[in-house]
Amino acid sequence: MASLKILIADDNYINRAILSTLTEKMGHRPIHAEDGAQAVKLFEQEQPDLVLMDVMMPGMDGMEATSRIKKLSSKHWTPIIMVTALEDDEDMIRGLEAGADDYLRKPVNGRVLTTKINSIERALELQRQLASKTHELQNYYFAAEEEKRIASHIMQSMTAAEGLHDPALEYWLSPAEACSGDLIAAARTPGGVLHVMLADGTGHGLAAALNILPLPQIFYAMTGNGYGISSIATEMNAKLKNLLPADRFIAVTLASIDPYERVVDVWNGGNPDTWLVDNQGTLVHKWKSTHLPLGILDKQSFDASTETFHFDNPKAQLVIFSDGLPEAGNEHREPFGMERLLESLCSSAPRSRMENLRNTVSAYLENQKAHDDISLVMVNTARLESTRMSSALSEPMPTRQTSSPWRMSFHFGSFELQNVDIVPFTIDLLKKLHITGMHLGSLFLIISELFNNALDHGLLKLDSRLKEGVDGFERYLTERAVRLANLDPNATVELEFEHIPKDGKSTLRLSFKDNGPGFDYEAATQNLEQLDTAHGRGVALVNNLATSMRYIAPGNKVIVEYTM
Amino acid sequence: MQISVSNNGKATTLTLTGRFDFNAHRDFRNSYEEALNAGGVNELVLDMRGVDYLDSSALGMLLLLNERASPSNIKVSITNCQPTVKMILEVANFNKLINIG
Repeated sequence: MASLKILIADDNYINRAILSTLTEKMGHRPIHAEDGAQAVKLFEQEQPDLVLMDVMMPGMDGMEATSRIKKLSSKHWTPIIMVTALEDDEDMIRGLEAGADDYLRKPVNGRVLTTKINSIERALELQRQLASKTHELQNYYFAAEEEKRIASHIMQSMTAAEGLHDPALEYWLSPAEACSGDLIAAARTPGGVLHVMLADGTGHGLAAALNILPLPQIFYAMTGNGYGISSIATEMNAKLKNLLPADRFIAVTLASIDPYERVVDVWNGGNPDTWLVDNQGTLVHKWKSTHLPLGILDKQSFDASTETFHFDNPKAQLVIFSDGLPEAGNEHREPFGMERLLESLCSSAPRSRMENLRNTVSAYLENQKAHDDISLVMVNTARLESTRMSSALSEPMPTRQTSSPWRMSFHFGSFELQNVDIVPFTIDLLKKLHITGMHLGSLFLIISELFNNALDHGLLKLDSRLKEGVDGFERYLTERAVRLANLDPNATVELEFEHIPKDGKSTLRLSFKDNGPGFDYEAATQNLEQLDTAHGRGVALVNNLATSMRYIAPGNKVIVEYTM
Repeated sequence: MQISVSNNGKATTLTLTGRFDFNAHRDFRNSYEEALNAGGVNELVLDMRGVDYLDSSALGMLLLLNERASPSNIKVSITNCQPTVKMILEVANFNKLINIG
């Protein structure tokens, strides 16, 4: 048993001496007060563990002192035992009412005192344990809050990329806890194609946020180099498979919207449908989840195939959301549901769709808090249109310091043509050679158009007219995949990039050569002013961006100069 | 969630009832561990007729079960899903991992 500091308040010296002797024998440490006022003062100074309080004292009596002491020690329980005259029940009751915890009859019986103090000691010990547990819990709580604060800060800085301010984009992110397990990211490729990602990690809160932490960096870095969403999904899956425990995964939707080709490409693993709704409120297309979420399959079994849709009507909205939205329940735990969601989207004007949906959802939930993170992103395709051209052509080019001449050349065989993302690979090299900003964007367009011409038309002999008509684009892509798989093993594409600094200006000379039979380049280069025809548009675009462009007979080689 | 176990000699069936969520973690793991450790089992069937809801941590538990069963060539399958449960499994494309009847 611990030694207690016991405050003994009694105006009678003999009484004090008796109590003092008894408690000392039990191993405790008594201190003395001769009246109520002194008891209160000593209580404040000495913070005793227990008070033995006489009732009748001159000046401030025991009742008054008890109620004052109880007020002083409201947070921390300090037991007070009233010492009353044998025959006086009234004193005993008034004492308990004033806040005393127990009473002792005078003359004090040593055994009764010992028993009472022992029982109080047990209560004090319980209180001490409780206080220490509470304190510990409080520390856990503060530490957890602090961790959440840091995590949510990191999440915000990682996700608050410029891409989310794209004028074509609206989004809504409502976390169930301090940090969200849902994540929205958006960025343009150097060629102006918009990439959007919506990720939903298992569960919510800190653990879910931790799981999705690796994603934004992969998304932004690869989009910045012009990789397609299939490659991005593959890379993310490999990373997550390595990092996450076996029972954790992330539902992800990756979408790429090419305003120029009017093509939406979606990879959906484990999220609800992605919808394309036109301005009249018609559901034009939906992309179901066709894949397992990321982080489950190993590299060999992972399927990166996307579903492509060509939209004729340029005024439509692509809508991507996490399951927290349709599953958000009202007070009867009935979920909002996909039907209500689609109904709300289709019944409102395009401009007010987001606002209308948010209002509808909060009216439905009333004051219920959604139990899972809610996230939704909308892309207004009308506002995307032709930004690629404007960003590449009309905005001022940054001035560039001239550097030394350099030259690099590549010879790609059939294996590389089938398996390597060659355009992003070259873009990454140009970035490392300090070519940035708008120049990189223009060069990306030039390189991807000319490389794709060499591969698609020069080697795979695909006809651009395949793209015409309903489902034309899908037909083209299917045919392309078949021909690429059966590519002539001797097929090659040679690239040569040369940097020529001259008179304070920097010029890049790019040459593309395939070993196919060549094509009727004279016909393709005749109508270069007509940017909008379905085929030959790529060549016209390159001609516009480049300082010069020259085909070499029989049309399997082209040389382009681009001056910065 | 309540779990009852039955065996017809070839397959062991775990019949699940209630909400299949994080709170079922320990019970679910203990049940399938016991069934798989019993030996002589080459098929484990999860009968979901009594499950009205399944969350993402339940999907995680199914992944753990699958990982535990596949090295010993034990077939795992799911039967009798209610519409909500079926939809959740479909969106997650779990039929690519586990046989869902």
